[in-house]
Amino acid sequence: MLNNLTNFLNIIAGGMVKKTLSDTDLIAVGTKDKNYDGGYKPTAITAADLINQIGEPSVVFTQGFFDPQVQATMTPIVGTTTLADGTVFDRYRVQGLALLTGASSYAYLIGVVVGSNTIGRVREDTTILATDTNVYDTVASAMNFNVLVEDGAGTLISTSSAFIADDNTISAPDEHWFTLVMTAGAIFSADVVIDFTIAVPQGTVIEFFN
Amino acid sequence: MKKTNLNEYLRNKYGKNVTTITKKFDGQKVKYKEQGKK
Repeated sequence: MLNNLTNFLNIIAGGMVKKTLSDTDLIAVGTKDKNYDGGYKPTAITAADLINQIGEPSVVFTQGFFDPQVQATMTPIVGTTTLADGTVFDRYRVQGLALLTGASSYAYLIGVVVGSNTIGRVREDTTILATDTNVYDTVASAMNFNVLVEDGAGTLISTSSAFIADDNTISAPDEHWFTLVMTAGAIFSADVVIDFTIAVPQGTVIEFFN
Repeated sequence: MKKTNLNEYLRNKYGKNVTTITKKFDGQKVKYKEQGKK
């Protein structure tokens, strides 16, 4: 059967088209071998081994221009989010590292995402890793899910002390300045592993600058 | 994706070097400041 991979008639007619892979499913592979006609011999790999090998793409962080204490990058990720009205969103993952030390309050620019007025935050995996701090002691915790709200004077105020702000009022509506903001009652140090995913309407071209 | 950094992007778009941008979060003045600038 492996030598006749384009003939799916019997598979379809026999109701053998699968919707999900099992770990032990075999996927046909052509392995280079000059001793075979066409230069490839038929081999196979299990679904589990293939999935493990694909893994996550490698990323390279770039040091921030305004805030070199932060290094970050943005990469597109597979899969979409579809709203009930049929609107489809593509997803992008922003990853980075921020080294905080010597102050009780920080506002570091992670980067600017350019190209879409509409940007949603669909996942937040950022973590705070405390290091020799007066405030936290060997704490590694999930980033708080805090929000920015607007007071009567139009000023942005936070409900807590650790959040990543998405502000597109600084330069242009399609320029989203993502900023790490952390405040404590005393000087503290922390390593912040930045990891969050944004969504933009499908077809929109966005770029990341830092 | 372009390899341009933020400084180049701002210069290309706004026609001048942008070295400092300020914004208020929670009443606190935040200054995005180019490395080495005061």
